[in-house]
Amino acid sequence: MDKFQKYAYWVIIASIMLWCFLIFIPPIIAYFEEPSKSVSSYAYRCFSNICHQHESRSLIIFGHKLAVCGRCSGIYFGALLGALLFPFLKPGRNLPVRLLWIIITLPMLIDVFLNTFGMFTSSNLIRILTGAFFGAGSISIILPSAIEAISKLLSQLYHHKGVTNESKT
Amino acid sequence: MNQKPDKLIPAVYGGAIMALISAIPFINFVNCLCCAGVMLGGFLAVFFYKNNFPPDSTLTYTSGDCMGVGALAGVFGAVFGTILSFAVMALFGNFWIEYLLEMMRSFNVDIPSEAMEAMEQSMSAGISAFSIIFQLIANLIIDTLFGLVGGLIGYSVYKPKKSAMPPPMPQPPVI
Repeated sequence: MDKFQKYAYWVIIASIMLWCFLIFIPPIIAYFEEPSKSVSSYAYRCFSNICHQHESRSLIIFGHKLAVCGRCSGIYFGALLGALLFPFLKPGRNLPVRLLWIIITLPMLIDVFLNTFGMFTSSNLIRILTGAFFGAGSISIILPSAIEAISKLLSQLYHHKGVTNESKT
Repeated sequence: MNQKPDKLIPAVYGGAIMALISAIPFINFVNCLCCAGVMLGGFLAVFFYKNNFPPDSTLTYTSGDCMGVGALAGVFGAVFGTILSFAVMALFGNFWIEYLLEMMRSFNVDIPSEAMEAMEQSMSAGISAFSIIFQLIANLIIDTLFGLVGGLIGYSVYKPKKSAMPPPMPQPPVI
């Protein structure tokens, strides 16, 4: 990894951390503004487009559900863990990408399918684990491309800044 | 052709697909799985963008191009989706929430009071300038972010293969 690739990697880690932190904001607001819940309802509404937010399927903190359900939380925290472990672990990097997508999606899809058709009652732990597996797997697939794109952008910005500074002097 | 194809048209197509998935009742449940519909829009935008490259072209798309197309599709998807979802709501009302409530009651599903409250609140909520702007801003942030991720997924799937042969040497000038 060159200098810009390292910066790009940490930009991505910081972005995922920020996203994971945002998930905790609505329950924290709800905890401090009880019983009115006027601001927290808007905070929850921001995430309503990306998740069903069922209380029974969500993790609870300070007596309030997180902004997204257990499976989605698993995906985001799995992505964070996968991104942090990315430089140290190299599982399945030689496998074809399409096969990797199928492998990481399959456990989650089977869980959703069996649940939907009443063949199996899933628990929050299974939802979180299958989500985390998907999150960690998907970030390990897309991270090299993301690092490549962001490092190029950072290097262009750096060189552009260097050129403008030179032209000023 | 020494220029890469335009990113705008594939992004508009991807954004339109994103908007349709997000705004049509029942189909928009796809987005409950981590914005799968939005990511699909970004993914398809990359697919359309990739198809715009002539097969004999020496130029190829980079991960940055795909990220850009996905994010742009997210911007279009947010704008189209907000307009479309409010149009659907103005024309038909919140019939799908009523339908869901009716279905849950008929199956004797034990609905938590908070969920019931939220459903009834969204049924009674009207269309106001504030709600449109709020929805648009929330959609712009989320759709751009997930569209970008969809673009990266598209790049990982349709990554151009590195050619084993080196590029041909330029011919020496004929004297």
